[in-house]
Amino acid sequence: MTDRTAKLFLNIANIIMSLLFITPLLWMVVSSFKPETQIFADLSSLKALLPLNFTFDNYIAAFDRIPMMKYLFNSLFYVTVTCISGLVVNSICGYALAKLQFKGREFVLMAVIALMIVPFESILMPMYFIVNSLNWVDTWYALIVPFVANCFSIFMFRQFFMDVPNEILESAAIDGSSPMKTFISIVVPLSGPVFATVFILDYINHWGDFMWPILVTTGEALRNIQLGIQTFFTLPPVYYGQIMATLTFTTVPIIILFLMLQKYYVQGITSAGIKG
Amino acid sequence: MQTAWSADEHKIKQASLGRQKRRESVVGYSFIAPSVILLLVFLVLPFMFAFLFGFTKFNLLRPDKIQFIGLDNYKLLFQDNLFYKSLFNTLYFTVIVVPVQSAVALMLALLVNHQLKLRNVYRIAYFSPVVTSMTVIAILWISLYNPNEGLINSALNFFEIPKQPFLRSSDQAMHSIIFMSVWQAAGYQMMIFLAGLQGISKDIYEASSIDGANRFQQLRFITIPSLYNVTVFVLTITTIQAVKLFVQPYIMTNGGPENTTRTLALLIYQQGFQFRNAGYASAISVIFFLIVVFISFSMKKFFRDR
Amino acid sequence: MKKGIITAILAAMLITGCSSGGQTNEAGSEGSSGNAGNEVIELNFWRPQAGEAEDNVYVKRIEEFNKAYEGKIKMKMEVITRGNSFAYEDKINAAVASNTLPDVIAMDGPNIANYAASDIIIPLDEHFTEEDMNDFVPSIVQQGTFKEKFYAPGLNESSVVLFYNKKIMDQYGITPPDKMEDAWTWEEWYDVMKTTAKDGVFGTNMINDKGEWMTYAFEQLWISGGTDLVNDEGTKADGFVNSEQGIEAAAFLQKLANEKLFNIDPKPTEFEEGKAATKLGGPWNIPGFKNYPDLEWGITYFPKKAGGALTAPSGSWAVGVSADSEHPKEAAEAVKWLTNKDSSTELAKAISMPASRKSAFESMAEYNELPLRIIKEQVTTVSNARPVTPAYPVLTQKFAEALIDIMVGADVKKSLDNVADIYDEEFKRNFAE
Repeated sequence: MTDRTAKLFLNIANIIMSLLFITPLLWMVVSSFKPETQIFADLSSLKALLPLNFTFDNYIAAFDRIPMMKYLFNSLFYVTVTCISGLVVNSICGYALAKLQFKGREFVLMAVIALMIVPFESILMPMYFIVNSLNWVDTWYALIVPFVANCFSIFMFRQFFMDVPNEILESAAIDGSSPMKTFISIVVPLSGPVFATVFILDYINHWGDFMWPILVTTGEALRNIQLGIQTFFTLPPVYYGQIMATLTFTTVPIIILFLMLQKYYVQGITSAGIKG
Repeated sequence: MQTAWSADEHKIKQASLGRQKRRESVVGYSFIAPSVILLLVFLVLPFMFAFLFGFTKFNLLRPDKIQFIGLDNYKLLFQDNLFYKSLFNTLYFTVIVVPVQSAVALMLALLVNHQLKLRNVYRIAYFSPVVTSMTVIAILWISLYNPNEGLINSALNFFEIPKQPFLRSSDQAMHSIIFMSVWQAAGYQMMIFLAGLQGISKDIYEASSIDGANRFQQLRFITIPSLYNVTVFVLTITTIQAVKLFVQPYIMTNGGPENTTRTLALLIYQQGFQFRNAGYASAISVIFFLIVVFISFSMKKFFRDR
Repeated sequence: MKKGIITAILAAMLITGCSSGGQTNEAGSEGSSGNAGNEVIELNFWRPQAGEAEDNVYVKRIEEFNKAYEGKIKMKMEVITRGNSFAYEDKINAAVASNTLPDVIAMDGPNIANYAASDIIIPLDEHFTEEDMNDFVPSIVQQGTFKEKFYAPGLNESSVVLFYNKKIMDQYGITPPDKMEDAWTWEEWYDVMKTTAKDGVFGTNMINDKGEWMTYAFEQLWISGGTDLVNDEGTKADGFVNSEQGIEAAAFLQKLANEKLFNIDPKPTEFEEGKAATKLGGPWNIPGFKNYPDLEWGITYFPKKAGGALTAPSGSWAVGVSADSEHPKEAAEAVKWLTNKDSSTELAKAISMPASRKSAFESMAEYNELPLRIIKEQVTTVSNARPVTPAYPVLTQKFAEALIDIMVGADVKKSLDNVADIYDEEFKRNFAE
C-alpha cells in the first residue's frame, strides 16, 4: 500500500466514523439556532441537522434568564483550580508509585485502584458531613479540595511513567539531580500527552458536577454552569431551543480546551531523549 | 589484603546503597503524602462511615433514630432477588462492554494517529459524545430507538425487517444500552490510547520499515506490544466504569423493563436517595466494592506489569 | 460492646455535623437571629427554583411580607436548583442530617407525610382558622394532613385534564363533553382514540416518565374504580394496588399500549404538532400551546371508569415550618402569608396553575368560562391528593416501574402484586410502630 492510498483509506474511514459520532453534537448546535417549534418538527428527518430558519433568539432569551457569564466564570474558576492542583499532586504520587522504591508502595497502589471503585453515591452523605464539620459549606474549598487527589489520575500517571526508560532517570541521578528535579526537568517534558489527557478527562468530569454543588452551595454566589442549565428544565413549558443554546454555550469551552491541548499530542520519547 | 579491601568496599557500597534506599524512601513518602492525606480525608474516611452505616438502620430523614442492627442488612441483601438481578445485569454489561469498547477505542485512536489534515476534526468527532450533555444524547437515542417511528426502525423497515421495541423490551433493552454506551464512551478511552501511542518512538517504525515490515506487521509487532501498560490501564478503568454503570440506564430506562437494566449503582441510588434507606444502600455498596475489588485484582494478577 | 462503639462513633459524627452546622447558620444570619429581645427576627426560607414568573411572585410577596412586619420579622429566600431530578430533596436530606434546615421549607405534596412522620416539620393547626381550612380546596387539606394534624398548605393546585385537538374532533364529528355529568368514561375515550388513531396520528399523548407523573396521573384510575393504591391509613398496599379494580385499571392502560393508541416514547411536542388527537396533560402545558398557531385545542374532564366516580389528579408544592426553627411562631406567620388569598391569587394569575383557595378563584373571571372552567371544577370538587404515607417514595417508584412494565407487556397481576409486596415489606421494616 502506498502512502497516498493509505491516506485516502484513512480519510474515508475517518469521515464515515466521524459522522456516526458527531451527529448529536451537530444536532445540538444546529437546534440551538432554530425556532422552538422547528426543533422537534424536524427531528425525524435529515432536516434535523440543517440550520433552517436561522435565529439567535434562543441565545438572547437564555442569556436574559440567567447570569450565564457569571456561572461560566465560576465553573471555569473552580474546575481549573481543581484540575491544575490535581496535575501537581497526582503526577508526583503516580511518579513515586512508578519509579521510586519505598516500603508499602504496592499497598498504596492497590489501595488507589480499589478506591476508584467506591461509588460516589455511597459516600456523598458522609462526605457532606465532613465538609460541613470543616465549616466549608458555601465556600470554594468545598468544591475544590475534596477532588484534588484523584485515584484515576494517579493510576494513569503511574501506568504512563512506568514506560519512561530507567536509563534516563539513572543517568540524571548520577549527575546529582534530586528526584524532584529529575521529575520536573526530565519526566514532565517527556509526558505532555499524559498530562494533557489527565487534564482534559478530569476537566470534563468536573465540568459536569451537579449533585455535589447543590449539596454544598446554597447561595447564588458559587453557582456553577450545570446548575444554571437546570434552570431551563424547571419551567414548564420547557424551551428546548434555550436548552440547546445553553448546552452549546457550555460545551464550547471544553472544545476549545481540547483543541488547545492537541499540541501536546506529539510523540514524546525519542532516541535522542534516551541518550540525553 | 585484597579481600579485606573489597569487603570494605562492599560494606561502604552497601552502606551508601542503604542510605540511598532510605533517602529514596523518604522522597517516595513525601511524593505520595499530599495525595494520600487528601484521599484519606475525603475518600477513605467517608467510605469507612458508609461501611459503618451498613450495620445500621438509618433513614436519612431520621438521623436521630439511627439504630445498630448488626448483619441484618446483609441478611436482607442476600435474600433480595433484585440484588442478584442487578448484580447479574452489571456483570453482563461489563463482560460485553469492556472488550468491545476498548477495541473500538483502540481502533479510533489508530485511525487518528496519523498526519492527516483533518486530524483534529476527527478527534473532536470521536470525543464529542463524551462532552455532549447526556440530556441531548438521551433525547436523540430515545428517538432513534423509538419502537413506533424511530430512525432505526425505519431503516429496518426498508429491509423488510419487522419493527423492534428496543429499550421497551426485556430482551433488547440491555443490548440497546450496551450499544449506545460503547458509542458514547469509546472516545474517552481513545484519548488514553492516543496518549500512549505518542510514547512510541518514531525511530522504531522507521527502523522496521527499512527492515521491510509492512503496516500490519508494525501494528502487530510494535504498536500493540508497546501499548501494554496503557492497555492494562484502559481495561482496568473501563471495567471499573462499566461496573459503575448508572447514567445511561437511569436516563433511558430507569432500570426497566422488568428490572432487566437495573444495575447495582442504580439500586444503591434508589435505596439510598429515593427511598432514604442509607443503611441498606451502604450494605449494597460494601458488597459491590468487594466484588469489584476482587475482579480488578484478578485482572491485575493476570496482567503483570512489564 | 461493639454496638456501643459504633453507635458512639456515628453519634459523634452526627453531632460534629450538627454543631458546626449550627454555627454556620448563625454566622450566616449575622448573629441577629439567636438573640432574644426587640431585635428583628430573621427567617430563612428554601424553595426549589421554578420559572421566572413564579419566582417573581415569591420575591414580591416576601418583599411585601417584610414591609408588613418591618422591625419584627425579616424573611430571606434561597432558591435551590431542582432541575428534573431529586436534587432539592437530597439537599433537604443533607440539611436534616446536619441540622441545618432553614425555618421555612417548601416541599412537594407527597413528601409532607414523609417529613411529618420524621418530625422534620411541625403541625400548624393552631395557626389556621376553620374559615381558612374551608377556603382551601379539599385536596390541599388532604395532602397537607398527616395523622389528623395539618402541616403544610400550598399556594396553588394542579390538575390533569384531557386536551383535545379541535380540528381532529371536528373531522370525525366528535363533541367532547363540557359538563361533569357527561364526562367520558374509559370506554368512550378508547373509542375516540380508536377512531382518530390513523395516518401517523396517535389517539392520545401522555408522558411515561420514570418519575412522579405515573402515580400523579394514574392513581386516579384506581380511585375511580373505588379502590386506591394503599389503604386509608397508608399501612397496607396488598388488596389495594393489586385489587380487582386495580388490575382492571392497569389492564386498560395495557390495552391502549398494545393497540399503539399512544406513542410510548413521544416527542415532547407531539400534540402541539397535531400528531395526537388528545393529550393527558395539565395547565402547565397551556403557555406552550401559543407557539403553535395552527393548533386549536379544547379541554375536557379526566376520563372516569364507567359507573365509577369522576375524579382528577391534584398536588402541589406546599410550605411548612421546620422543626429546627428557633422561631416557629414567626415562621408560621410567614407560611400563612405565603398561602393567603392574595398570594394564591397572585401566583395563579402569574402562571397558568389553578389557585389553592376557593376565594382566589372567585377573583379570576377566566375560570368561569371554558376551557379553564373545567380545571376549576376538577380542582374545587373532585380532585384527590396522592396517598398520604411515609413510605411514599417506595410506593411511587415501584408503582411507576410496574405501570411502565405493564405498558410494554408485563403480566398485570404479577407486576402489581410485586408493588404490594415491596411496599408492605418496606412499611413493616421502616415505619410500623
